[in-house]
Amino acid sequence: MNQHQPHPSAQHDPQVGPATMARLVLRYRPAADVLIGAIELPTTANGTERVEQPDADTRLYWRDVNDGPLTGQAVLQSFEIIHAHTRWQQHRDPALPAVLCEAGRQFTDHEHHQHLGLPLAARYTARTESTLTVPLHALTRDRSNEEPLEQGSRRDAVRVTRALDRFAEALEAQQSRTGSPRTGSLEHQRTITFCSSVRELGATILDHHTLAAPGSSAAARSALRGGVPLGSPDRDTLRLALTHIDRPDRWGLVAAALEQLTSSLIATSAPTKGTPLD
Amino acid sequence: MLRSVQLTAIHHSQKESPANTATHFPLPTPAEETAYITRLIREVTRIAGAKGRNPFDTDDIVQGVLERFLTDVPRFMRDYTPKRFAREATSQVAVTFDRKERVQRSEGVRLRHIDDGSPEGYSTKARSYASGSEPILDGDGELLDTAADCGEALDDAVVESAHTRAMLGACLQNLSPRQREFLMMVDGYGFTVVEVAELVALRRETVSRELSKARHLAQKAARQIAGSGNDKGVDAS
Repeated sequence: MNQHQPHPSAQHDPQVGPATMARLVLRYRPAADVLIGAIELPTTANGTERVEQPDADTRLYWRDVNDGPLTGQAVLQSFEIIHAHTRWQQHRDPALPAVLCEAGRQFTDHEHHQHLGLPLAARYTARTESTLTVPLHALTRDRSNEEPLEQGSRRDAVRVTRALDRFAEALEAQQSRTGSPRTGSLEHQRTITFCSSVRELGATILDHHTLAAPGSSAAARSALRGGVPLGSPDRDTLRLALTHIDRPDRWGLVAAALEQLTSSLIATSAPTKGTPLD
Repeated sequence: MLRSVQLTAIHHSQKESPANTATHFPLPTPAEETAYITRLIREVTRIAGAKGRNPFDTDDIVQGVLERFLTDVPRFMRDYTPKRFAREATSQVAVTFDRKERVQRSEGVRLRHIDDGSPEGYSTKARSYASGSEPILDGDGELLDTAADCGEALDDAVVESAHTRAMLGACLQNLSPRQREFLMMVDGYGFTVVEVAELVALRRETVSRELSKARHLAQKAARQIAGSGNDKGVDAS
């Protein structure tokens, strides 16, 4: 496992005593873009643990401290972010304390492309790790900065998932029917990646019932860049749909837009003229 | 591109079986393989996280699932969706992971001082944790601690008492010779489960299973004896 140098912004502050600092270990899987972190809290910070999911791609493990100087506060103990680098690239910051957000962004930025020179098997299993020291007070929960949790309906989640699946199927069917893009070409590879991202997005939304999946949607938008066999208007509509999918209250409209795109693909007709998202 | 394909082919032939040769299944393209595996990693992370695993345990489980998957990529890709493979492999690897954790805990070795009457005495190996059970507290008489599951170290005087000797005898009486042997070796003499398995030429799992049974029976006997002892005390008063 590679070791990353600690980021200077989170180094130990000599003015602050060791009891007020905590050691943070970040571990990143560049192939899957998964970032995890664990904080070694001081022994004085005892309390009960609680897991929270602000969205379908983030899991936060808080400790409600009932002992010592942090009594009554929730301190972050560990976390897990899926599609971490892609999220930060697209400014969809996960609900982490600011200091961790910055450290995680810089760490994933640095490590994201490091594995590309490796053989395939090693690339998939590659992990990198970094250790840094952060002030304990920066890990406490600040409810004033938190956005209210947006939740959609189960029915809309099912509908949007089905629409995403059908769209991916239609895109693949069109590809195999027309033989374009050619198998093995860069565009073909991008289509495979895109369809996989779209299916994953659908499955993630469905599995988490009512939560948005901003990481998975960011990955789908990222996979859309650079070439998927769609006309420009269709691609714009798709990008718009994949942006609005982060808002559960718009899932119904997103599903309708995707269904319309799918019909258009199946019929191999002219580009669509209007969509519910326009 | 050519380089990637060659690497994939080498990688797929790591485990040679008729099922994973290119003549039986077409090899997935690198893009398909990458899309599948990256999704698999994320699915395993989600599944293990949803089951309450902490992120670093989850990461180790992901590594285990990946190692399993990489033994036969084309077959697994053909037979499973990423989600299904993730679900099945995660539960299997998690069981192995938990077992390993327990075994590793049992292998924590500490030294304890034995007073054999000589001026210096000597040190011998004693385990601080029992495989898959509660930690054994400091002090001598580990076997008794395990058998009685007392939760507190026994006083030397108690260890020497006739009652305790009778208790120990009664606890061991219910065990098969093999169980008694394993219990004595592990909890009495400080061998690890792995060492015992090597000595008796059995699988570690078998020794571990027998040891668990032995501890269970010994604890049960100890509780019965303790219960009857208490009753007697009440009667006597």
